[in-house]
Amino acid sequence: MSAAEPTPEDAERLIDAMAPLVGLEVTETYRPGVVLNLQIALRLAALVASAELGDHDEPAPVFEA
Amino acid sequence: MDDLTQLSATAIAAGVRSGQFSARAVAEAHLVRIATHDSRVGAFTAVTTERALAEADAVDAKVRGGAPVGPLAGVPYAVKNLFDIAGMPTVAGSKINRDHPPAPRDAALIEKLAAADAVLLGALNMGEYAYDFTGENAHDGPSRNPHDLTRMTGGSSGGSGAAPAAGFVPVALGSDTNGSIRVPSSLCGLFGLKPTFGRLSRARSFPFVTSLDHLGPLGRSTADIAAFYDAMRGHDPDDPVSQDRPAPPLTPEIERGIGGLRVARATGYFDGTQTEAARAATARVAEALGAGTVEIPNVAAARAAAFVITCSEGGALHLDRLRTRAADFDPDTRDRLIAGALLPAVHVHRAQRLRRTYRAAVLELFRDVDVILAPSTPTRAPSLGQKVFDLDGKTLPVRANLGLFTQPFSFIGLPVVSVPVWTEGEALPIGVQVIAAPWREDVAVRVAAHLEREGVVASRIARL
Repeated sequence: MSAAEPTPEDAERLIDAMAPLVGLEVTETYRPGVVLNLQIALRLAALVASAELGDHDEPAPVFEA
Repeated sequence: MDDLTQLSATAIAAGVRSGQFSARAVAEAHLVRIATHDSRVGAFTAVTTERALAEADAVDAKVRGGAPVGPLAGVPYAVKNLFDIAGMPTVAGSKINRDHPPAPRDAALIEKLAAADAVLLGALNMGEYAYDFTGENAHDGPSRNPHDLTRMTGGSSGGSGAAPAAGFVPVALGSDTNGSIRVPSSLCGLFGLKPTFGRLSRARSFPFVTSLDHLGPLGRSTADIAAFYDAMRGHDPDDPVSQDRPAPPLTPEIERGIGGLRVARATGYFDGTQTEAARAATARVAEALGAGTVEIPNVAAARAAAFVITCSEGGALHLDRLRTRAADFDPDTRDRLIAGALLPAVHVHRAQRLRRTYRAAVLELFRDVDVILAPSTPTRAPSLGQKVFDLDGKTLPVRANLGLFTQPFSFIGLPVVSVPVWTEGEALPIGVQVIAAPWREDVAVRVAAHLEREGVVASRIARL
């Protein structure tokens, strides 16, 4: 995945690498929709990554033992 | 009483309690209206007639016997079909869950409403597994906007928006992960309360994104949703995020007015990507409240983080079903969930870290304001089947963007009341979010009730 706007090829590569590892079959019928949605998700993930965070900014969920 | 379906929840409870009319008459009137019109609206997926009449008769027996009745005596309501209803499978808008065994017990909030003597009329249509802002559903057909049956209700609590607007029930329950109470409230012209995250129990409701899921009421007045909230509040150890803290009732806040409250309209992100209708509605509410302005930092990144967490947690929740029964999903939901299941974990972890820093920044703003205003949706109800809309020169997918303005607030669990605005001569409403600091539902309700009293916002039952 490139740091620029995610391309359909970025999404295709991610599908080909990840889907077998999590046991998902992305058929030709589903593929265009998955590519489109992955592009959106990756674009928004890049937007999240652009926000500054420090090493001590912890994640939100708190587990109580 | 000519038509019991035109009454508010509070008026029904008062009438039943005083013996002016029976709970059975109320239930029957609503059931007849549903039977007459719902084939065109598509609000219900199951009508629980037998149970409703039994619950109504039990309330009437209490009234006749002089026994105390609950605060929602004889008030009909219905629930999004992701709430467990004892004896029925909890379908959550899906085809797959129809194979589930019947729920052994009601959802926690239904049990609370039963204890308040409310009467359950049935289960409501929704976007599959709540991953939706449109109210469309490939298995059950769309819920249709009662104010214009060619338009969307909004989702994913589509039936929960349609049912009160159609006069089928005064109040419905929905869920809101990213806007699924506030979006249908906006498009169907209702008051919708998304309480603080952790406030109302989610026990025995079908999950979507446990980090972000909330439950709450949609209805035709502030007093009605406050009365339902009051009956449902309280800690529940069966919901792992339920908070054990005081939850004062909201009903006493209705008449309190807004004296002393500092109100600000959110600018920046919330000024862009919308129709003039959304801008005008927010401006009207802001003007009525003498609002200043406030700019929330990092909103676009926060909304993006909510999106990332949602698709990843949703994909993970449904992974086994995606592996074995992908063809049985609604295609629109399936492709998003598969994408979520493939998203690298680093993105999700970063989104959860941003959630905490964004929360801190927004809480800082609440030192200087008590209420923040923002549009509920960027547009009035789109047409059914509409895939994209043009907002400020940008062509955007409807399904992902109807929640553009709701996601930044549910992301950090703030309590919000969406209030309905009707412009003179317009057939369709649009909502404005009244947002308060965590655990301050009382503040949002005071503002909503004030706006309603002043005639700035109102709900209507559609002519069907």
